[in-house]
Amino acid sequence: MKLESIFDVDRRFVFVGIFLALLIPMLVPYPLPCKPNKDVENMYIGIDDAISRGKKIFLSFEYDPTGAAEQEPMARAVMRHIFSRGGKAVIMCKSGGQQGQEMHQQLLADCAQEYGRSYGADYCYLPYKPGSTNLVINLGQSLRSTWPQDVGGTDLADLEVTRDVQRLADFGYVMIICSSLTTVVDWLTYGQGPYNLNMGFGVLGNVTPDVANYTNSGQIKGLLGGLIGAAQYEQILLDKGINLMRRFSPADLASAHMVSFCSRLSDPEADGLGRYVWDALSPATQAAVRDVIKEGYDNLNAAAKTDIAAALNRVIMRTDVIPDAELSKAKPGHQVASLLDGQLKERAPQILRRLIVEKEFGKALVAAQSAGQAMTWMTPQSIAHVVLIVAILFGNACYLYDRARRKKHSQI
Amino acid sequence: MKKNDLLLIGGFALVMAVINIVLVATHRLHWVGRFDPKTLGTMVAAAITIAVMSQLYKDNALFKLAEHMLVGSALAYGLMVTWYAMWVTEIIPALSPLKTYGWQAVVHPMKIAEAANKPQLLGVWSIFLPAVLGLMMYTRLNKKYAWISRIPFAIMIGFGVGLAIPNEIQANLLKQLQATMVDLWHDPMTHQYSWNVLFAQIAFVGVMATLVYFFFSVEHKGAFGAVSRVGVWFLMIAFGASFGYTVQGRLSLLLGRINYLFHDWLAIVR
Repeated sequence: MKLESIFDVDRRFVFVGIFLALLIPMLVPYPLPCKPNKDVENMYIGIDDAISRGKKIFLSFEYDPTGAAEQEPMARAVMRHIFSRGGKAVIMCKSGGQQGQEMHQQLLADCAQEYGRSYGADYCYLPYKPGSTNLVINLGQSLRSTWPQDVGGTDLADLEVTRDVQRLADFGYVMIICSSLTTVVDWLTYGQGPYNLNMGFGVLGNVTPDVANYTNSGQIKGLLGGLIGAAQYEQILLDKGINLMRRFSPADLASAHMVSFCSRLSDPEADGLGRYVWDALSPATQAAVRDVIKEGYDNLNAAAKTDIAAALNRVIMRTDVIPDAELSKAKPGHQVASLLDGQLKERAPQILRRLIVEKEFGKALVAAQSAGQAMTWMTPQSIAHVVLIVAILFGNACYLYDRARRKKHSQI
Repeated sequence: MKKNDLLLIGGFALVMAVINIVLVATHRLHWVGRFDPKTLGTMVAAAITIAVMSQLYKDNALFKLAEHMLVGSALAYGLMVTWYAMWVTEIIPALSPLKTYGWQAVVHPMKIAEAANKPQLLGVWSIFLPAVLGLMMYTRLNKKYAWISRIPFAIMIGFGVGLAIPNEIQANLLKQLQATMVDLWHDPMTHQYSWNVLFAQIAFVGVMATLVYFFFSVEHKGAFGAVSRVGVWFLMIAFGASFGYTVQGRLSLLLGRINYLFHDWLAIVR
């Protein structure tokens, strides 16, 4: 049999192979650590520096469900960073993101809740407006004449977050999450160039090599390229302890363990933490919790989950439920302990309380220091990528071997 | 549409309905109340995802149905978003002085704009003029009056070129040239040889060799041919990197869909 016959294999087997290479590692999530590259670090430093100078951050969300797999983790990581540092952000939606407006707003609301930030004071969302180049030009001249009102119809002059910014140059850092090279060039040509902005981009993987040119020239100060870029930013958040500062959100309640969590909450003989959280819940939430135990699956509605998250947050924000004397129960790992001794010293009591609560409720609560979505997804993506590379090398080797053999035969 | 296509679509709808009923009955999908638009949306999105992926097997009616639904709904959504974002929130309110002040708003635009506490340079004209130019583009739909559409196109192209040339030269040519023309022997920070200097040297050789490859006025032979061959290698490395990133990007997007099917819909991946 000629080795070349391998090329006759039905292409559908290749599709199935790639599908399985992605699916199987997803069933057993194993996030791999990754080393942030210089462009990702530059973005982190740029945003951090702008916030420490008291400047606001301007973001343009130009992605929709099509590119969300790569770009939503970028947006989430950057917003967590901004909110954790007490930064303020103005977020707009331009062409490319019109079909993603709801998901943008949901992401912003989730991140704001995690760090106790509020709409209007800490961030605002400017709804989709048609146009591309003209919008960038207008934003450079006047923010309020381009967007007189936010998504809720409030004048920008009445919002605390936009009160003292007039144009793009007033922001400390401008970050664009977009899908095409044309958009990047538009922003660089009509925004960065004329106003010398500190600018970073979050782009899809296929655009990254083209955009990287602009980091060498210094026009772009920070680049998140594809899922790996988002994963590297998430790694920085983990290393700096940004995730540890999070409060509980409904998303932290793991559905798979909801029944045991609810049983633990509603246990009449429970004392201490469980009893406190149970008493803090509204009667409607208590009924919903009992219903979960009765039905045997997670049917909690959003309001009940929000109520539970709020009750858990009361535990970590107050000093009377877990007194300072009991904080030694937390027993953080080596990395977290060194963070708490260093840059997170001021927030240490709140973080230790969160760790105690996580320990108390086990797997029912997602750990603050767990890897983000991009880091988790990098493992299946890397495996599928390696499978493809091996397949390409094997195919080429077969082709070259067959060609050499044919040549030899023809000489004979 | 052929009978087989109808059978395929009907069979697929039936299978999806059965799967969804099982998912709701086993509490993998939560149906809240009498009508749950969120869960229904998840079911429809899962069905459309599978229908689109079915094209990998072979071209079929399911894929075509999903494709047409996507184009139609995206167009309708885009039209409505643009209508509200442009006409309802921008154009109609900006023209409101016409209703209050009549033609005075057109004759004395700035005076009226100030009176309405909306000081804009040209008052209603600042919206009226672009809106009329925009509407003029629709004359292309009629052969007799199609020539009118050349006016807004001419203005748009003239404006675009005038604006683009200086900015494009600055952002895409001069800055990129500047980034290539660096000290090839010393690092500007340390004044010594470093990795950055090595990268600058590689970039310089790559740029020059690639430019030589695209210079077709001289035959690619001898030393010139050798340099041009180096340029081809640099191009191939660049294309390879680009291809690698593209594959990686496409895998990420596929991961998103797999996660949707197996996490959001089937609730197998936790």
